[in-house]
Amino acid sequence: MYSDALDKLLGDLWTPQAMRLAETDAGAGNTWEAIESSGFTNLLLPESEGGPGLYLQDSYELFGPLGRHPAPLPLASTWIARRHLPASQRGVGPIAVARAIGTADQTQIVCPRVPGGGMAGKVLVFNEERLALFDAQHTVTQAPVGDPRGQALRMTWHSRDALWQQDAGGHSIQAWMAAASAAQISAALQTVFELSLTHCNQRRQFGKSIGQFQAVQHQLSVMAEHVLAASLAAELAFSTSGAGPQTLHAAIAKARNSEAVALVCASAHALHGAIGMTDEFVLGLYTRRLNEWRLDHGSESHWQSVIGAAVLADHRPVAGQLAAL
Amino acid sequence: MTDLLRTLRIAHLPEQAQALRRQVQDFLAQEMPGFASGQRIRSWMGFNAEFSQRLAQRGWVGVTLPAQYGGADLDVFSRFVLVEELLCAGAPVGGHWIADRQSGPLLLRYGTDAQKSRYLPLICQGKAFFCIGMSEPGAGSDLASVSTRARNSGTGWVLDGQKLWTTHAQHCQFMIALVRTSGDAADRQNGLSQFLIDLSLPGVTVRPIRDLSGDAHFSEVFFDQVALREDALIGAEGQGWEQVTAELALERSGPERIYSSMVLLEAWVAALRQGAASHAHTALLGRMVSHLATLRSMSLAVTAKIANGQSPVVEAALIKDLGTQFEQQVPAWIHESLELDSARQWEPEFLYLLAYAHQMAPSFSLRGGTREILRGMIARGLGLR
Repeated sequence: MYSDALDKLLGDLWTPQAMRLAETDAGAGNTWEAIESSGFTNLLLPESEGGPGLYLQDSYELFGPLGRHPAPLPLASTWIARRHLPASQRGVGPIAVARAIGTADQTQIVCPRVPGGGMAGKVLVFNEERLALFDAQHTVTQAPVGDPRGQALRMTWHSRDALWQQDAGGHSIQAWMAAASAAQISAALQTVFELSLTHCNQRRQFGKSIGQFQAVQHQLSVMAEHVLAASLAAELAFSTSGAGPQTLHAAIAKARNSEAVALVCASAHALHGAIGMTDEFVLGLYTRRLNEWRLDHGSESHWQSVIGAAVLADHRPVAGQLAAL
Repeated sequence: MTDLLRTLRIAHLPEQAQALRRQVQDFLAQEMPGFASGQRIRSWMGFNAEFSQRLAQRGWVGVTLPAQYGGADLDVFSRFVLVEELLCAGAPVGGHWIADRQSGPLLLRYGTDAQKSRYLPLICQGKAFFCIGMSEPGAGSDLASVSTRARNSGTGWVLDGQKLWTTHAQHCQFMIALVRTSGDAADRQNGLSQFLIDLSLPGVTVRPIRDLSGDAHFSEVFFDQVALREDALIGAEGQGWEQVTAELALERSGPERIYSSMVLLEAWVAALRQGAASHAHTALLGRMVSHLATLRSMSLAVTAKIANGQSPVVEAALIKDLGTQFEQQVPAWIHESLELDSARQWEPEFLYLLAYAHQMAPSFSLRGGTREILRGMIARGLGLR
């Protein structure tokens, strides 16, 4: 229900042209105000705090629209940050979420990758033990990481400049962000697949649509396998009991879906040919964002190590651990 | 146009299926210690009539068949759990496997009352093992070109021809075969029918074929003027292709398409737990688990569709193709990562499992429909054909 309304709103706001404008900042503020004034920044809050009070399973659907309309605005992290912040700290405007590494003397906070940092008013940083909120403008240093259009930044702050902090919540917010990112990836992969299928049905060579060639059909079939796998992996992360995703489930989803990005994007570009390499055609916008999301909130290599360590530490056979997921 | 990718959703095992899991685990804890890892890795290629009969005595053969035929009358989710536990333990289930998975359900759906009363109780007692007669020397992936033929003799049927690569035919009492009853190869899917063949009849010759691991898990079967009774026909004459298609959805969707390398994977993990695992091995394990957990969710989601009375033929093909790629990757990944930890010594027993799995892995994407056939089915499901 909320996801349909969100799909409609984002579809109207974030046309391909608007998404490209947002990549270089212009016009992004207007679309954010439209989202905020519609109440769409409170979607993960309980009813008692002005949100819809969704169950975890139902909140899965919220992230699909973000994958289908991939502007580089930190909307998922704003939802999740607002859920983890006290009402007094939520304020207005986009909030990015990022993992922090402390400096040796603990005087500075370093975030090697803040997804959407360039669009954020505030950044909620976390490590194993704590959460801390910082102003995105009052940094010690900040620099784009990767393609600047992705709006990911490397940011550092003086520890003493934290606006708010709390000695808990790191694991919860990390699992939420990994699960949300996996769900966004899944929806974007689905769009990339649909673009590819449409292209292969329309593009004609050798007197017939290229989708009639068996080699092309088999590439699309394999893409479909990985797109479907990604959707089940993402949904699994939202299918447990409890208020938020569990770390192992979120880890599986993000590892599997980050891995799927490589194969699906490579096949999509191979099938589209030169038109897919243009700035004008929308495919590049999706695959650019997907490659950023692959790294955001833990790449597959990060989460694979986490999963492997958890499975080894558990004394049960792998099969028993899977059955208990 | 891509509904295929939207309708498969996470499904959860119902409570009764989880309760069955504990019973199966207790049973296996008693039964399995006698089996060496070299036997367990053969999994559903392993034949052991005594094991199948002990499982039948426990009520776990023909589990989805109605109680009136001696079946356990369990839902498909319970069968999912049973299969999952048996495969992950490496139980030698090859004897009753085909009958439990597809021949029994096929007879239940298309058989006459007389056929059901005669064969289903035998299946549930673990006394009737079935094989599937599909491939022939000239009909592999192109199944519609089968040339084994049954002619109506007025009082029954006379069968001539040959089946090939029939798994465990040499151990089975019965075969359900797809044969031509009218027309010729040019008629393709039309004119095919399914027959239940008693392999002890005069004119039937079964010759085991040694495979590249040294086992003989499959056979060639010759039919020389084999006289079949009228009631050997299953379902309707000429409907063989439709019946086989429904049967293949049962064959392709189950967890056996993701767990073929499970005994190897568990042995590898057990070895990694001896001492400190290297970072490379830990990450590789995480990669495998991320794939396996996802595939298991997909398989369970398809099971839920079957439980809903649907026949998810394309989804089953999709999961089989992806699942067998994973099963084949497991020995390949382990193989290539072996010496990433130069300090580690691998036990000879483990290295045997790896060698066996590596050699048999190509069969994972041959049995039950090749990769190319499955991808063609998926393409059709996507509207491309």
